Amino acid sequence: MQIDLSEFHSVFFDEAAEHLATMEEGLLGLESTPDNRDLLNSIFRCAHSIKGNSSMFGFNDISSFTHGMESLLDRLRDGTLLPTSERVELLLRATDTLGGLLRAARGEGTTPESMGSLLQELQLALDDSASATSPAPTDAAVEELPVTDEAPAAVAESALPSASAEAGDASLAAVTASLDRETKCSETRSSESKGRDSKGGTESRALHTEASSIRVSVEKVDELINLVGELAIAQAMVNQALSELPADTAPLLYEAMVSMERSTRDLQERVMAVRMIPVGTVFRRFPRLIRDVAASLGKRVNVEIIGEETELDKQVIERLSDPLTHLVRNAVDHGLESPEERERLGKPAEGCVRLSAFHEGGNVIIDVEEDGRGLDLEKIRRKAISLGLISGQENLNDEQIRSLIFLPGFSTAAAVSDISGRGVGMDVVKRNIEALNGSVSIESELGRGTRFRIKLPLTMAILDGLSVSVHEEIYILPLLAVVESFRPQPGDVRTVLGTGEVVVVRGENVPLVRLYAVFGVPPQITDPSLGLIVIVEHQGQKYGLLVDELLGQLQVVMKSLEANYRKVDGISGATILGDGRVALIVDIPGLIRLVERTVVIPPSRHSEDVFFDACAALV
Amino acid sequence: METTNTLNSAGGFAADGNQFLTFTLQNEEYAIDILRVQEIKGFSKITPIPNTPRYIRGVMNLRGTVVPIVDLRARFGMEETEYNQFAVIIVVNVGSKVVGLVVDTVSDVLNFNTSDVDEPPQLGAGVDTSFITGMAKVDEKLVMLLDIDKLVGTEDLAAMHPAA
Repeated sequence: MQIDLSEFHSVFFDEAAEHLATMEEGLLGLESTPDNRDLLNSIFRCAHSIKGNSSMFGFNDISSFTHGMESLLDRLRDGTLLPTSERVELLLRATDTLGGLLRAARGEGTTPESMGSLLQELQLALDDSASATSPAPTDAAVEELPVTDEAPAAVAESALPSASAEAGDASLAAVTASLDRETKCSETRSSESKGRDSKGGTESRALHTEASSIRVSVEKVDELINLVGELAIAQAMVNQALSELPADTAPLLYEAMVSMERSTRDLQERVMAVRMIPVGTVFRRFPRLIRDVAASLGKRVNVEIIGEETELDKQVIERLSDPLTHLVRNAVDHGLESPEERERLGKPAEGCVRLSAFHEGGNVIIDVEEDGRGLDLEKIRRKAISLGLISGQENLNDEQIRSLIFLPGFSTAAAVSDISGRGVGMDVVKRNIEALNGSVSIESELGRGTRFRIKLPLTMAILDGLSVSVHEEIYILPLLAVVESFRPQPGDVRTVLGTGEVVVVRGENVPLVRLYAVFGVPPQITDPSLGLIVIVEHQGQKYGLLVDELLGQLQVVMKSLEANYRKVDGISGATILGDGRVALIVDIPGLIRLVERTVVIPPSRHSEDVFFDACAALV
Repeated sequence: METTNTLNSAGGFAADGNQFLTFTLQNEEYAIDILRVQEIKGFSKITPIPNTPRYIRGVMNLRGTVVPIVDLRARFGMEETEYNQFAVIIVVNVGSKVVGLVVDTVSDVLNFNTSDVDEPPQLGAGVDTSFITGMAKVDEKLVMLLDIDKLVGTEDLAAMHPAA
């Protein structure tokens, strides 16, 4: 019976990638806790799985390479060899090569050249063990070790020249046999190793219970989410229609509607939860990145990761990876001082980079912080003036000065390194995060460190909004940005320089934005004291939006305008209301940019977006 | 719809011809490739989009999808009218996008043989005819064949989509 193995390939690659990540994570953990048996066991199991599966699918390069790694790991596991930093380093490099081999097998790139040399190094590392165990090693004895180990793998490989089911079974049997052999071997070992293996046994049983989860393609989940979104809209439409009937027409119908509404909401929540994945999936790559960057700069870094189980929408996590990578590299490269400088300053030579994630309100906060040199506000200000980003006349508060580093073309690093400091990046970081409906802020103390705080919505598919009306149109304001709303007294709105307008809120002058003017809709209410002012906040700066009426708070399903049209300034998307009409969702940062391009705002109230636009105009 | 049959029989379902959907704008006849037409809808509430060209009327809810609506009268620089419930929206596919076109009325489905179609006229610099692929004469009526991609495709929707 012929089975097309190719359809299982993607599962193999997915699993191999997961195993590889676990191995890497384990190896990094091993650096700090070299005698952690559980870690060694889990690394070994991963290598073993990759070896077994790859030989079953006929990826002989991968299986023989993993076999080399496995041999060394086995020595580490049974205690013949100690996991010294050199050996862990070697294994880490081997995981990189293994990653390259997997990509090559997938058809992305070529077989890494380092494969042969690394196999030799792995072999040499094994030879050390031979010399350690036998006092006078002969070449023959050294040769012998790997040969005996090779046997089960050789059986496995020879058993699958053609991708037939029998061959698959045979190789599976061979792998199981080799597993049995290992278990038996370890049973004959010391009592300590017995205890260890019995633990290994329970863990492998735990692995079996994990099989109760299934692997589903993201497209299927997305389709489901779209459909549930439609359902929620349809349900709102029915509700709307029902509310137009006299209240006592059909009590049963009302009851049914209430329970249907509850079920729809539950369904929507559950389906959204399917897309939620722990932020650890993106965090887990950083210890390695930080280690490599620190090593290349001669810095010593201790990485702390907190809250990796915090869940976020998969889409958000995917798009978070780039900005986070940038912030983390920056933290190590620019943030932390060299060990010598740190010691001179009376700090521990080892710097600390902490990544943490937690929930706050309906948002997820991700912090990237280090205990490095902190941002030098005066240096940033001078730099911004020399770059012509600001004139030097502005009266900027500390927060506004710190935000200057988000301007395009800004970089404080004296030398441009290959890691960071090319002057591109922080503006991209900010834009990427804003594209996720999030925000990024900086807290920093000179000499003590810097913290970048990213605030993100749980999901991009649903938005908590406030619906407002302007004449016949309905707009949705993201609730996240709304501070308060009120009807101003006639004297509260004043003009500045004849054109700009401010509204006085408890003694504070807040720029007034007439929404109808910005969006070019025919106005119904032009006198602010007859309409309502919604105060929104962006980057610590408040703006008062003049609208006709507040309609209410609601959860809306975000629809992209780009899918069929294009990006529109000041609008982040659209949604469909209960009556079937489309309402636009206001993009507050975009709206502010739009306003500042057209309306004069009193000088002291400038935000950095003015500079952003000013330098964009200069280019 | 009595004219439908006569027109169809006049055009015939020749193998070398393509089927076109014809519609009117200010008493002029236009036609688009019927394979590009997804559906025809009655006029419903359109939400205007700020700061867009005049001929983008706004967006409409098409069974949960947000679809931009192009006003062809405005696109051609014709006199604009207040559309009422008698106006028709032709929903077309432009690349991967779905776009609605507001027209006065939808008239017919016609088959044009290549021999029926003349080159588009050159009307001088003042009149943009780049999106007219040809002109066909049907029963003494002149029908202008439109290139949907040139009309609403390139510069208005696809190209303005941010490259990033």
